[in-house]
Amino acid sequence: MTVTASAAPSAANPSAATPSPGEQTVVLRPCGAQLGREQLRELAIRGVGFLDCDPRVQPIQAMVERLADRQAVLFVAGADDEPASAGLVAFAPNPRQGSQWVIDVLPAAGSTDPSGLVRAAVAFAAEYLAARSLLRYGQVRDDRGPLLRAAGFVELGRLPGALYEDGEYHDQPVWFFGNAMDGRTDHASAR
Amino acid sequence: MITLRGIRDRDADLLGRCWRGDDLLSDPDRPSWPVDLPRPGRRSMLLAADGIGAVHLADIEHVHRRARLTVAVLDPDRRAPMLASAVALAVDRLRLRRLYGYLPAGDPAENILRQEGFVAELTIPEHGLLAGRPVSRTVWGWAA
Repeated sequence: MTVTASAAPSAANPSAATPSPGEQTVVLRPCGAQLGREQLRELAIRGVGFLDCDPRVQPIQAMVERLADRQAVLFVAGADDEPASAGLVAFAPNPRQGSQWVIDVLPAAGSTDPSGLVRAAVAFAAEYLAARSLLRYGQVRDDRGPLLRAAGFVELGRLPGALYEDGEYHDQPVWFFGNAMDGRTDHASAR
Repeated sequence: MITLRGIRDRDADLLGRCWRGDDLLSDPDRPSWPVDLPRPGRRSMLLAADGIGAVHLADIEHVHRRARLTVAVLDPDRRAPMLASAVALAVDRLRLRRLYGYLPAGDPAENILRQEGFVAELTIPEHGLLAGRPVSRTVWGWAA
């Protein structure tokens, strides 16, 4: 299935995207407690880091507490009939600057075209969180760099030795999405 | 070396007078504005030095052995020794190997950080607010 964020609003939901033929709109839906735990359990199976959560060393409850500490909000993203088909998105506020949010995105396992997920997440942040810039910190076992770069994120630099993984310390990349936030709201879709 | 100890209720006044936000080095001469005072928590430690100031180690990551550091003092001349004491405590007592913190880009306190072995790692646009306007903040790091 190809999923993508589309720019055209529909009559039923002015902020929802209308898909082109053969494409489906990526819709972000907030996770309740149960759905959130299911998604974190899925994260544990895949073993990838997500917004400071490392499922290899943190049980589900520890990840829940860590997200709560950061006041993070968790969303599943997908089509109407498959709510989590595109992946997982999280936003955490920058407590020092209300229009900047920390973001993380994780395409669903087997997703063939995850670019729509990132576009939908950026658009959602602009329209519903009033975000003017986004930050993303690299995670352990992270291969999402090319995806972010393709979506317009720029790598600000690397924090030396900030991540311990596989017996060694690694530099942690920091990604930024800023100047293009204006005008992104026409992609957003939420339920 | 300045002696640091865990925060006590009686330190509330000291904390209220020295705390200026979560910059790596607070400027005690900067006008105060309403900010949340730090509290010890699951992943943070709050320490005080009698009559001098406070140290906050936040976002402590024991796997990655790092923490975000804030040093707040009443007397600007005590910033360097307080910073050195905070680093020593983090390494000797907590076994951390990386400390980092944020400072507005171009802040005069950068010289103190360099003297104590901190390095400017990267600058994040619009990361803080100063006088109501977004300002860039630089990540300063120290590694054992």
